[in-house]
Amino acid sequence: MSVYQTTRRSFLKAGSTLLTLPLLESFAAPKETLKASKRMIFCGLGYGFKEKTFFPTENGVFKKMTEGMKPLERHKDKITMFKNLTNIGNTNPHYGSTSLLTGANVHGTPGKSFHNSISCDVLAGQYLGKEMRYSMLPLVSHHPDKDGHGPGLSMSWNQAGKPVSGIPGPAELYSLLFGQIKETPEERQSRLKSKRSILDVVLKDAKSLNHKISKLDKEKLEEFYQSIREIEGGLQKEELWAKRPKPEVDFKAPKSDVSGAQEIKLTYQLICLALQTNQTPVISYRHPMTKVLTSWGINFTPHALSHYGGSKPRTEALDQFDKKRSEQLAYFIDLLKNTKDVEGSSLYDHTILSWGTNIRTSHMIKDVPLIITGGGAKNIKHGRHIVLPKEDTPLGNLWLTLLREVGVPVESFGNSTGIIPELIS
Amino acid sequence: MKLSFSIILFSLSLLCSAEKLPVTKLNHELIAPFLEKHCIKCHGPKKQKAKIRLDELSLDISNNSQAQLWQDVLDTLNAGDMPPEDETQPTQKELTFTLRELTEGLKKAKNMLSDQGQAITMRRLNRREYTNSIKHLFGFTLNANELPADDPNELFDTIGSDQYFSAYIFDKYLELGRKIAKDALKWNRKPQSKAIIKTTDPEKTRIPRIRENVKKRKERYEEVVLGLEAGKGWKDLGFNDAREFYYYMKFDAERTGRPDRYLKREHLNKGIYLTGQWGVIFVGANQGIDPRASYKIRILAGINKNPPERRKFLQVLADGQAIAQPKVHGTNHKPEWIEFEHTPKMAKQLSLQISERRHKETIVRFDNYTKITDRYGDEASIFLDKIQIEGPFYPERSFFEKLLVDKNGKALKITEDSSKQIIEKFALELFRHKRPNPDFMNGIYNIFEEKFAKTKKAEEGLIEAMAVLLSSPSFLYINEEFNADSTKKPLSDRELAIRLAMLLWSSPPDPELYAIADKGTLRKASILSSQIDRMLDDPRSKNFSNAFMSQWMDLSRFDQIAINNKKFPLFDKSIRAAVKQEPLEFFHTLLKENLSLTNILDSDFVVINSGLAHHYGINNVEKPGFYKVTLPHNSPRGGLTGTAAFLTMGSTGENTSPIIRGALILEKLMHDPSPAPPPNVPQLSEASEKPVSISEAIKLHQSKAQCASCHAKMDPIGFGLENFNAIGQWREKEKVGKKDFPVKSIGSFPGNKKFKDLKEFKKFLLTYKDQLAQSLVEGVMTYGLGRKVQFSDQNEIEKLTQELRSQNYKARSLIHALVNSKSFQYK
Repeated sequence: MSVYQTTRRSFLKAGSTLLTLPLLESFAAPKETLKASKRMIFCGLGYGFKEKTFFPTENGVFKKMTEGMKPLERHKDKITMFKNLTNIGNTNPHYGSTSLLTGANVHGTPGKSFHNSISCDVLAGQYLGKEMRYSMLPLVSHHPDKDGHGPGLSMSWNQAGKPVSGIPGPAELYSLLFGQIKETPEERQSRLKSKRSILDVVLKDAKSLNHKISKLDKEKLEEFYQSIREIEGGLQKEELWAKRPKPEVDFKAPKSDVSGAQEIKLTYQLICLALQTNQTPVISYRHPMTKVLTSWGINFTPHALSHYGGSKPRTEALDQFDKKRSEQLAYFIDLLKNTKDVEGSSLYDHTILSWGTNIRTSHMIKDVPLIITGGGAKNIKHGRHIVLPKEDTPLGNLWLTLLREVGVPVESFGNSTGIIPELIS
Repeated sequence: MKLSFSIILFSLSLLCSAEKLPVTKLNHELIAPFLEKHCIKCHGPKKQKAKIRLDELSLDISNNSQAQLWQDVLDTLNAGDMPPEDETQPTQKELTFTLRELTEGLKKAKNMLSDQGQAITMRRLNRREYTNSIKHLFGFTLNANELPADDPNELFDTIGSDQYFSAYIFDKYLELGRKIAKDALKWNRKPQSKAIIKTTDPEKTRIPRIRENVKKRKERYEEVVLGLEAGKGWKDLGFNDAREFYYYMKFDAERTGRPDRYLKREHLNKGIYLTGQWGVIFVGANQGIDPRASYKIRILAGINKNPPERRKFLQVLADGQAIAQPKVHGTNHKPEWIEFEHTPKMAKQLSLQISERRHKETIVRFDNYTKITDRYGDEASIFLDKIQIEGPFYPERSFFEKLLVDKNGKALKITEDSSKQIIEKFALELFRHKRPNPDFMNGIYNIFEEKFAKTKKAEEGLIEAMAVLLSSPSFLYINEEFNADSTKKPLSDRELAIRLAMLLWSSPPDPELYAIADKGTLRKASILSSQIDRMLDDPRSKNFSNAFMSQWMDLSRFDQIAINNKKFPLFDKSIRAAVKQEPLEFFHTLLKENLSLTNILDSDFVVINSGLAHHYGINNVEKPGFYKVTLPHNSPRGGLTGTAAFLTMGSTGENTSPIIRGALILEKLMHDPSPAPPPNVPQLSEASEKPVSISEAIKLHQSKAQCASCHAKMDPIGFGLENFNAIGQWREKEKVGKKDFPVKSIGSFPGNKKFKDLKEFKKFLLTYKDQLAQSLVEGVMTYGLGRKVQFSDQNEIEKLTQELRSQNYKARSLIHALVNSKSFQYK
């Protein structure tokens, strides 16, 4: 159904280097960059919000923030929210993130029990991240907690619709961005060479399996090949970048056991640093849920909390949760505002941040809660609650609009039917 | 509009999909008139609003696009979006029937259309199988969280089509492989040590500490009193302000009396009392360990005074995990030994922490705990005399250990030559006796050479080579040969042996099974049968019981229930662990003793430990560990529905949920699963946000057509267990507000089979033996084959179910029937 034929070749090239985690070297220091590039951040929140108290109702310029969004009062001229936006592809009320950025109906492909398509963050990374160390970074929590998010290894899916492994937790992210490897060029060459011979050898084993297995088995094995190719691509890129030191930042390496609300805060800070030091233009972040709740003293599992109807303790806890989450977003906007970018501008001025999920509230998957902020899209005037004229306007229309705003030349995305004209007027 | 999108999808996939698939028929007599009356006017031959035309949409669903469109119709009806408000609305009854028919029909269609025919997809070892493979090879147990996480799966963790692989996962395997190889070379060359007993006498370190504390406090108090007599003020006495001095005089000084009282207790030259913060809350014991071995843990303890039953349990943690909750017998005058076994995971040492079992999560202060549990308070407590750790006790030597000794039983020297031999033999065993490709092996030798040349150490080369082998697909994937023309191919004997061992042990075959496969006699009926029984008798079959039962009954739900601590303050970590273990032990007992699987519906015995016996109010369960206990006459326990695990899963952690209980019984025991609640149906009572009682919720369910289509069946069944509270304890009354109301188990099974108490409920439940058998057959087939069961499997499932029935539902015949089936023996 789409679209990227013209650039397929360039993708395959970039795609193979999508996520090659270990030991990758650095990128240009920020001052070497003359023009600020466009950045995109996608945050996935999992289960939805409380119907009565979170969602604005009036169309147009925000007057007063709702109870659940109150902490965003100071930013009300910087955010945009929608009514009548639905992730058409999503059919499962427990999947907050699986197809949030893809729009695919993961159970709707004939002959396959599960099938996804490329996510818009990965697509954006292919265009915006060509010159950068990482075309994009998919983040997840250190705690493997998928409640409210659905299947996937992160929010990101590659061209083949396969899940992209997430970088787990701030400690690993930090070492990826700023961890220095002490080795001589010879040592590095020798290390890369050894790793290559390892990959060659396991491929030989894979090939020996290839003869007498079924088509389905071959598809499984193809996943293995693809993984090995990704690692190879990463080694290549590592060689290319080897001569440039990683940026040094005045930021303490996070502890590996940090969790809950603190983990989110640290991750937000590191996201700003990653963008500021131009190591990547696009980041997706699948938020942790269970540990965040406990860190705020809420003793419900995320799923239990999403079914708050009829229970006073749950309703109250969700009120608290919604407010705290809004507070975090407000903090994130502050951070983006306060992080310096080129020529006296702030990171906020060049970034589009999308924050939300495709579950509205409990089992409702129509009319999703999504907040857009950041000055990265010059044509977007923030400060409004936009009631779209058509009910169930595809979420793909929003992604298409944003992709085009940052200069990704796509005709359509997922199940989009066009851009959202109301957003850029 | 949701529908318009589907139309596009519909037309597109019509072009590209020409697969021949079976058909699910929707009830024409029901659906056609409904469509005619409510839909066709706008979505028919005359008008096609939103480009949707329903009169041409086939009622026989044969492909996913049709299913998808019907799903959209269903969603739209469920959400109440259609018919439009200004049109005639369907009656409640009409809508209920239509929704039910569509829901059920689509469920069937989905099963039929889902996944890839009957083919088994090559699968990667899951965490359990990887861990057991390592145990088989090297004899030590990994911590599962060192491994890449298993993919989220809907049913069983053996289903290949649900798995992913990525670059990140490969690097994790490689990294872990290096660690394992290093540990293997360290431990598998160590001679076995003699078992020794390490005894810890807690009083030797703890009592002097308390004594010292008391002495210091007394001296300080005397100093303060003398100072006061001498006319000194708080400043001169070393206090920071008057308030600090005031509090010291009022509280702290007096508290010196408590440790003092503790020191006056009897037998302190022999042991200690596990009491509150003024005595000893817990004691530790450490022992360096050999990860290949198991250890015996012994505790000499007794009860002081006469506390309630509740306070007679110890909690034993090993490295933070609850490993035992033994009941203490004997007295402080005459303590008695408690003994149990423990196999530690890979670690430097075994750290035990022993305390009285109590609820740390809610009752922070020991005082509060004793206030809730008994009037003796701090005085009554467990007397702990000695802790012993005895070991190591070794099982049979692991494969690799045998490999590292020469003919004379001497440790092999790791040289270039010996390394190559080791690599060759190791690779064969690791690849489950499939001969590796020679070209690949040359590559492995090169890796050895390269590392050897670089480090000058053969051992380093060996580690690297082993790590790469451990990351190779021939180990990580269970691969079975396939006929090029896609016809069914019988498994080779070796492949069958592997499938069998993975099914029953989650582990590769042992030498005996390999030997039979090599001889080519595994398929001989008597041999296969005796091998199955041998493997079920082996302790490794516990892997099957745990993995199968927990996934079949969806026990992961239990972890998601947060118990309201205020309402149930005594539901602690230990009881939680025991509750979760009970159904697994129960199932394993059925398998071990080859009892009827209908015991899952109701049984005259339970498999519990002393902690659970106390939770249930069953007497005379005193020994440590889980074992079979015959139920007293008239006990409400028995069967899966009598376990606290099941009952807690069917609760909100605070109140019972007849809805969930009913849904679980329907799905697991009656083999009639309800579809997931449809999206976009507003939650009950969401609008009001006022608390809604369960009975009100049930009434609401029946009054809304979208809900009634399933809940009318589900909810009345769940009421049969109302006499069990949210944590599975028996109750006759329930407090609502300040008043007690009697609780009754009144409800019905489908077909208006009404019951008015638990006894009648169980009687009806026992009529679903065949349905239970079918549910288990489907489960074990899915688990054992590693693929979802489909419509086209119905004949085989029916056959196996009959087989099971003819064997009086004996647990082992479930396994025998599956292993002897064509599905299991063919790829």
